[in-house]
Amino acid sequence: MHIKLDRLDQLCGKNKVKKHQFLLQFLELVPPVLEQVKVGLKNRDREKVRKGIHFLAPQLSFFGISDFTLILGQLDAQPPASLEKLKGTIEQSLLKINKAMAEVRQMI
Amino acid sequence: MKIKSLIIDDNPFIIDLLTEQLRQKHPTVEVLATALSGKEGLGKIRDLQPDLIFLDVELPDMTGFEMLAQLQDITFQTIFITSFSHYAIKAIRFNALDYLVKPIDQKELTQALKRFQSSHSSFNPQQVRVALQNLKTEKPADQTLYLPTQDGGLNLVLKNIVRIEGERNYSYIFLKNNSRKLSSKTLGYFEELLSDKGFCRCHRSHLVNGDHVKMFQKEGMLLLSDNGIIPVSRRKKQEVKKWMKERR
Repeated sequence: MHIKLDRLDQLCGKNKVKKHQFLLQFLELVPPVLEQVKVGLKNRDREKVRKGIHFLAPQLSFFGISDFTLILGQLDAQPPASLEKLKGTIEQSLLKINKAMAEVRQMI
Repeated sequence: MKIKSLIIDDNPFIIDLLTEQLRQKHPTVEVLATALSGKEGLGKIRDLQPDLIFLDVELPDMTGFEMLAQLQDITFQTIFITSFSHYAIKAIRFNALDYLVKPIDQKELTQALKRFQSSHSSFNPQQVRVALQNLKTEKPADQTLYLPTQDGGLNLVLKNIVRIEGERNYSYIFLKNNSRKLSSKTLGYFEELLSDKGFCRCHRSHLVNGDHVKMFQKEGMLLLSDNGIIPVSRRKKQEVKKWMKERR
């Protein structure tokens, strides 16, 4: 499993409705921003990629995927890592997130 | 008594997470409204007069600091919410402001709310005003370091700090007027905040302000503007010499 629900379980306890809402929200918010990251990568648009990763990193981290948090750290580092250098890592993360989304779709 | 709060963040997940965490563990904190942009946040602050705002550093239309700067009077306390790696974290820490890292940890939230409840009502707005002033000040030497103390806080303009000396878990700050202030912060804390503002850790126990270094003496000592003489670690000699050369 790529997705981890420990923190969601801790937050929602036995409240299945609340849990379902957070999972649905995951499926609503993540795909359009992932698309934005992909377009940014294709066009070598560093700011677009950074914005997308910055937006998604906390939510993904909450669901056990910390890849974007680590990438964001490198993008915001002094001196910042180049997009070229991070391209492969970002693409691998995108695959992982796609798998996580498929897992969430099966859950709900 | 209820604490009236606002959450200003462009990410609906963060808003929902924080709202749920507050509802479950901190029922005295009432979320009056939420906003997804700086402009929307400004309107809700003016309309609802909150006691506390949770404010994202990086909003789509402006930064959290730019949003606060548009207010004539800050009558509420602010807890910033930000990503761990965000470049603004240093500015937040430099100004001793409170912040939470996304996704917000329940324990961290509890600690931040405890600090909010124990601090004087004017304490945090005063820090925010100093922070906004600092962000407008281009020269680091003219920026103000805000140090929380038992009596409230100390504003120290960086150019007035000659050096800082560490003593285990606390530090002495030596000022231009020959007075010194005691801080409960470690020398490492100051080094992290001030190393890109003209200060240099020349020794395990000493951090010096470049504006106050008069010369590097042959014996491996620094002569300062207050005539103090500070040792330079053997292993730091080349680094300090290079730093002094770059400052010329």
